[in-house]
Amino acid sequence: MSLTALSSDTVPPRSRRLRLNWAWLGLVPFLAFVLLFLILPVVYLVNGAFQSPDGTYTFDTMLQLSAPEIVRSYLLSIRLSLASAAMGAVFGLILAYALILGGLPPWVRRAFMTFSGVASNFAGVPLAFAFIATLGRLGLVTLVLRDLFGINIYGMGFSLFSFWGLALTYLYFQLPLMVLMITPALEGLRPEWREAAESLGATRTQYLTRIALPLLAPSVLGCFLLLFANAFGTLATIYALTSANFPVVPILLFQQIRGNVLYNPNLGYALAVGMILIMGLSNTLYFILRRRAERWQK
Amino acid sequence: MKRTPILSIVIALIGAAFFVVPLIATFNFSLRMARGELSFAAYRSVFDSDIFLSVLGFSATASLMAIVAGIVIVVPTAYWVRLRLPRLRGMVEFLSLLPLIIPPVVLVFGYVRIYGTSSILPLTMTEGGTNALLVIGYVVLSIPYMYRAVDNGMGAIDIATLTEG
Repeated sequence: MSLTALSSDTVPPRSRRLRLNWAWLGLVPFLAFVLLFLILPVVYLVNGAFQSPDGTYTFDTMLQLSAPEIVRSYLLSIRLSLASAAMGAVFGLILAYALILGGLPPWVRRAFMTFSGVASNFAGVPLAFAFIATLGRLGLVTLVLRDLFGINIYGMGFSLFSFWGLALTYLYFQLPLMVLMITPALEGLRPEWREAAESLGATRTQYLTRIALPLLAPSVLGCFLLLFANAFGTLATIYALTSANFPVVPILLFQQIRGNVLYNPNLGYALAVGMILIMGLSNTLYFILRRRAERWQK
Repeated sequence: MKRTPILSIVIALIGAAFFVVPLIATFNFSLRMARGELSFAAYRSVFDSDIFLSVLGFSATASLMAIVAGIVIVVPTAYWVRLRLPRLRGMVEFLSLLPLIIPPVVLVFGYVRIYGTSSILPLTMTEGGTNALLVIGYVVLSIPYMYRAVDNGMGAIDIATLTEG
């Protein structure tokens, strides 16, 4: 932040007055690209969401989002995203804490960080396939548990294609993303704070619950929101695992793109706008929380 | 360290197992093409198939083109903003973060409608146009990461001073 202030102050006033008239031209390629392939498509959808199929402006289309099967889709999406984000945030925090502050040799940490960079982008069809090969009905882990330990997880009610199976699959990219995002916050916990607490007689638990966790809370909550948004927009993974049997919002929207399954093209736009609103809300909260968290990282 | 961090080791091992087991299972599965034995038959048949090679080539080309197009759009912009238009940095940064808020399905939905059959620029009508739109979509999705990385890099090497020299 201080860098921005510095660079805008040190630009000599002479060049500002003379060149600024033409300097904005340098931004034209970027702005044109963003306008054509980001802003216009979104504006088109938003515009359509507030029209009826015959082209008159109305709130009816947005209000039709309250139809029971659409509400059910949104709730399912939100629940699945919350579950996978919560698991990712909690386990990711524990793993990152062990890696950074747990006294493990540095190479362990480096290996996890490198792998996390790859795994956080491992989604879609390959991920679905990997989990079918692992925890599907004939997956490696399923068979090993059944044949070696006599535990039949499918007999106990587990299914990879159920809510928790999907949440577990999402965890494969949520967990490493959490590790990567929370690491700077953990590194920001200064050893002095711990030493101060210890020299005042605080126990390990007291240090964790009274100092470390409150300091980390905004970062953890912010990362949780980012994980939520990440899961909320996921289509390929869930589509590859369940084809269309699990009607989360992205799948509903995808079916609407393939063929007008909602029997109202404008309702499709409203569905998309609803997704943007939820994503926008969680991302805005994330940025607010991150700004708050950065107060301790100066 | 004073003592062996047993708890940390256990946590790291569980984490490593969660990451590695699905990869091992996938590899194991890939060896089971012929019933009842482990073999590389699946790999042999994949590399003999023309479809696989052409599809792999297509994916690689599309990704490469997306990287090149992304660099062409992002690097000059980040440079120019740092050098000449620092006051617009906030706006450009905001625009570069927008793709994080727009889910890919929604973006594609917009493309299909705007660049579809009845548009001025009907990209989805031809194969080349569809491929171009695919690369463009990749670029849009990568802009948040690319812009940050390039901008941080330029901050680290003090681009303004270097340019003066």
